[in-house]
Amino acid sequence: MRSKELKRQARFIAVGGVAMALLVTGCAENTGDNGEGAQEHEQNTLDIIGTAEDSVGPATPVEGAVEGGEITFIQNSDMAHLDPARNYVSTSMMVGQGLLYRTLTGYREDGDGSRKVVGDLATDPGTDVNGDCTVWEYTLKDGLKYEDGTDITADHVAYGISRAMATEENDEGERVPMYPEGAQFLLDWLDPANEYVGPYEGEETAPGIAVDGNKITFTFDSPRCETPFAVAMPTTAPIPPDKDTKGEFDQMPFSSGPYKIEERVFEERTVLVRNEHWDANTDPIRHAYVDSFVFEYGTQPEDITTRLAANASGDENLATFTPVDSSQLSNIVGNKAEYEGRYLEGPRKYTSYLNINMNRVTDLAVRQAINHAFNRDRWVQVNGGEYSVLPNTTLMGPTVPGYVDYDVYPYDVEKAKELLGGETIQLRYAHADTATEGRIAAAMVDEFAKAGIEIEAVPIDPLDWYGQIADPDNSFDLYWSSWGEDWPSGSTVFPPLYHSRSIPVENNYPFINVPELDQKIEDLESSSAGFEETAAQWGELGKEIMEKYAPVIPTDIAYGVWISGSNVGGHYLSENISTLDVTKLFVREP
Amino acid sequence: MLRFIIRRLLLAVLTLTMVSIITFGLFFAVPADPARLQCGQRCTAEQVDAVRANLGLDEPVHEQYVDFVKGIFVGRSYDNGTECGAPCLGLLNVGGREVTEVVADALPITASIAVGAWLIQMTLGIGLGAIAAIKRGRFIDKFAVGASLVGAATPLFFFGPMLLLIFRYELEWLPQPAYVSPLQSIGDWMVGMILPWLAVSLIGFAFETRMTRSQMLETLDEDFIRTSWAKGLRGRTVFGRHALRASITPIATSAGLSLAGLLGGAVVTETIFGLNGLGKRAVDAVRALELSMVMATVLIAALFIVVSTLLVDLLYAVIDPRVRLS
Amino acid sequence: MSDVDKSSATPHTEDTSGPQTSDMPGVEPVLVADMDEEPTTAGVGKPASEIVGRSPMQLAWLRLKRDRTAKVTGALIVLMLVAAYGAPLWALVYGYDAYDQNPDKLDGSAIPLGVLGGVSSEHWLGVVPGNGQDVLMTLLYGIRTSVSIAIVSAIVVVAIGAVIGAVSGYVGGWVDAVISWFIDVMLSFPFLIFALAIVPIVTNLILGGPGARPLWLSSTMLIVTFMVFFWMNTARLVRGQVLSLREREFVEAARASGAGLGHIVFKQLLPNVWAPILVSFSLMVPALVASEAYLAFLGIGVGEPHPDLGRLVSLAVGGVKAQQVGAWFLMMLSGGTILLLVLTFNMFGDAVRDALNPKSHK
Repeated sequence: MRSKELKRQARFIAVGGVAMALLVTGCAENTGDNGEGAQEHEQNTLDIIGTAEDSVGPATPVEGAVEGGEITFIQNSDMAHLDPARNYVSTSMMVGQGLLYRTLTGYREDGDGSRKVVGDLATDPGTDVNGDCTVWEYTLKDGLKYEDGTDITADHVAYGISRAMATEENDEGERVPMYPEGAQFLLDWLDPANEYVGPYEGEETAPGIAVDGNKITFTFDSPRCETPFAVAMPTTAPIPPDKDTKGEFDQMPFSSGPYKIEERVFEERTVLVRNEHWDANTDPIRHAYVDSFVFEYGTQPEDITTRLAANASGDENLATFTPVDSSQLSNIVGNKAEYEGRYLEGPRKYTSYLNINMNRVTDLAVRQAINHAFNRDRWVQVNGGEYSVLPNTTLMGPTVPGYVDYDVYPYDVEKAKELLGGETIQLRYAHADTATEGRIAAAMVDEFAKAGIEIEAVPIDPLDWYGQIADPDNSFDLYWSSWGEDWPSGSTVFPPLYHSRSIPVENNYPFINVPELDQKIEDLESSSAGFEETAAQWGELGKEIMEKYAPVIPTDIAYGVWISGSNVGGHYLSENISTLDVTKLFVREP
Repeated sequence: MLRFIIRRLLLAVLTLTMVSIITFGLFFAVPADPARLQCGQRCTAEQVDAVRANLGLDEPVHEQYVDFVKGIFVGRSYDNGTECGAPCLGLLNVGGREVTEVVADALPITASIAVGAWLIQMTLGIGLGAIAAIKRGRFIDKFAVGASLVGAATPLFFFGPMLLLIFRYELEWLPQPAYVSPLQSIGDWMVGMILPWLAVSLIGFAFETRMTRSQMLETLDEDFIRTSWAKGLRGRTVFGRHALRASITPIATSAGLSLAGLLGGAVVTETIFGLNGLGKRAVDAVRALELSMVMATVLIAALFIVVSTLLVDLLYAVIDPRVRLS
Repeated sequence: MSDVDKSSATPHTEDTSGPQTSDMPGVEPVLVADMDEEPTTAGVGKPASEIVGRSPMQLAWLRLKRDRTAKVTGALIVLMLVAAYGAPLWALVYGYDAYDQNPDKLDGSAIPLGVLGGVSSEHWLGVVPGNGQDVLMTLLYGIRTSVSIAIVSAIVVVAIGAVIGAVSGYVGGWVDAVISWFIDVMLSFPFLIFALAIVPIVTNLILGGPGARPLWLSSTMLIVTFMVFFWMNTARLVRGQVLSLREREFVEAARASGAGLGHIVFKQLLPNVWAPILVSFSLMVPALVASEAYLAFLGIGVGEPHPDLGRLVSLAVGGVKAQQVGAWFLMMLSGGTILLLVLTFNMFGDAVRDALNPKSHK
């Protein structure tokens, strides 16, 4: 245990020599006791669609928050994309949606664990006009302004969505999307046949969108009961056509949120300052306690933690979205008290799987045997313990309402051997060519061998990872992938992961292709029964998939620990984006 | 003399050309696909092709090379309307930033580390080496020999993090290594650079110490030094005026080459201390398949080596009349 | 071009192979500094002053045997090699192999239980975080891997360098000019950056796609990388020597009797420049041991589950940064092992050079 007292002593002795200092800080016994264990997920309620009253600003104040000061985020690399049409990765979404632009709806998280989808630009989460989920109407609030003081209009929201559907012609004369990286749900619902060419070369507004004054209406050809969630994705951010700089918009989006970009040098630094035209009274979600946010890139994850943990003078205002590196967890978690007030932990929404390539491992009994032979405890241990990953046995994680807890194939080496009929099988296990993944692979080789499954570990250049495993003809049997739902519903889990249309561009990495299953997924997707009804059905579908097909080994659900400098307050784990909630942060002593 | 210089310059240009051709060619042999990488995991084959075309990677390798070289001398304009003035080293695949700009940001960082560390290791190395030679066999000599042996065998990736942990995080004597332009504040610049300087020079001085010591010993054995002693000159005069001066040429040579070596050594130093200099960027660029950036860093590193070798040769020609130029 | 026949101890401009080949401070400069003195002072060209009846080789051996540093470091090297290459045998007695995983010796976060990283009567130096391999065995196996790769690479590198250097020096003319220039080109590449780029290419060439990476493959990858980037110094050195030999009588005689290039290079020239080649080799080994560790630090090299010193140091440094209990002990052990290896090989190499070069200053 490292207390303040020990640290002072160490400082004194280190003057005398390197080795001595190390002795004092390091010569403790590891009893393996980290205090209380990691927190379990709280079961999510179905009551997450807010009301018009919930949609009224300002946001619920953060306890103890004061205005002013500057927070500097240190990150390994820059935001993947800031263009709302392309923004689909957690950190970028947190910065984009938390600080730079608003969307039709959003998630109000009051700091007490609650989460509700409420109107952000709109006055409420949406009106289901006909009661069958096919027509949805949104009315914009009054007094919404961009960073230059001009008004945000419904037309701009329509343009933002249409723009996300823009296509261009490639050399072979095919039309390909200009912004393929973003969330596609709303876009696919509006234009299921992919006929719209986008506002640059075609109609200004995409099919299915109608604008009337400050009202915007979406008309779908099948019931879309989860529209309030779908329009909370970044694609509904308003963009005035004359501010659309196309490719450059990704670097310098035009702000409708509480901050605007003052300086941006890609992969160097980004400086955000207050947008004076943003009105807190229109915004039920965001705060703007801090005067400016600075983002600096280029620090390795483990070095980020080391630096934040040290909290040396001049570093008190640092923060990061990067969870504590798994190698550092035992020290940080074991000394939680020392990081009080600048420490945050909790389960995240990312579930991981070892995909079983169904094009190669065609025998269900073998896939079941592989599942039984998987030692989940060892997996958690070699991944850095339960503060890094929590064991998970389900396809739809506990962050999704309707979660059903099941463990279809508990760890049982004898059962696995029995299913294999006493035979030995060989499997190729692909892993990213890094030290950590190499260690995990070595542990898996060791564990699976106990059930007579010989693993050949194949390292793959991390750059080429998706290029390799997304190929249905790949030569591997087992490989990792991870997924976090876009909104709290199975409809953003099962279609992209287990529907055959998601081979190979989405995330169907086991290449499961069962017409019967496809049909079930489609029925649930376009059910008009409403979100509450389908939630439990999605949960049950997961269990059924595991029983009937066993396409993956569910391995874990991510757990996050974050620390920051001691002058940063307001730590909160955003349930929606599953990372440090940037809108609630403040500087204790500006 | 002039002919010698011109000839060496031409050779240097030829060398750089060859280095650039090899680098460029090698890059196309890398199995991973930069277009695939930039497009991300959700791209179809058609989209990957479109990205490849946007990056200009669909052209034959030799045309791409010619475009690159042209860019350096006359600038380039890109399909998306970006004008990249000479010397244009290309654009980054991700983010589209001009590589020349990135280099302009990164070079001062690398140069700061290299020059500072070099000065320290020169002073330390030459000083210790000279003293060791003069006090041959005494404690200080043994210490110098021992220290340089251990220094030469210590891996920087082991020593650097040690310094960082002790002096930055444990004792908090020094601030986080960071680059502040010396034009802005000399003090902040030095303070931010101290750790990298120490880490590099405390290992690197070994080379200079050994070099100086053995050179001095060699010189002290030579006839004119013996004559000086015989003439009854005082110790300080003999060592200072005669011995050290006679040894200075080879020491200067090694000094020039050390500096070039330090620039190349930036990879490890910058990775350890989290400084975004050329070395770290080069590694990141190789890992991210940013060809333009790799080309830029390799060419700059090669340029430094070629130029410093050239300068050392010239220095020789000037200082040492025994070297015949042809 | 500078004059190659000058007779002073001043390093030749041509032969000054600076530290630029090394991206790693402290790795190669030592080798280079020593090389500088070599061409003019190695005994080959000046047999007249030696005692009659003993070959330079015998003399050198005598000197080496009398050298205390050589005796101590030589003994240490033999000891380490016996320990390392005998590791599978010791493992039988000791009870653990470097490949045996012991997850039960780790806590829930895969960090060794107990003091000093899991030191116990079973695991004398503790266990490795992650999968709990025995540290003592990992170190021994690691030395074996590291030294084997270094020695094989050094043989390959020195052989290539010597042949290229000899051909260049002997043939002269435009061949020499081109080779000398090519050496300049190769010396201009930043090694670490290129190693990063070249390793996936070589792997892909060998495997034709992603595949498992057995020990022989990782080793080959490293050897090829070293082969490409480390031959230049030896080549320059040998070229310098051969330049001074090519006009001598025995070469003239061989040429006059119609001997071919191969005969002259391999039978006449190379046997007469064995001294600098030997020195080159003995100092190349520690340089390569260190280089291998640097590459491992950047993530290139022998992968899991095969024991590797560089990777172990990186892991331990990470653990120390993370203030993992007992990680500093592993760092001192693994870092210390590399330091000891490089140091002893370097000192032994120095001793070899001194023995071959009576005028050098210790």
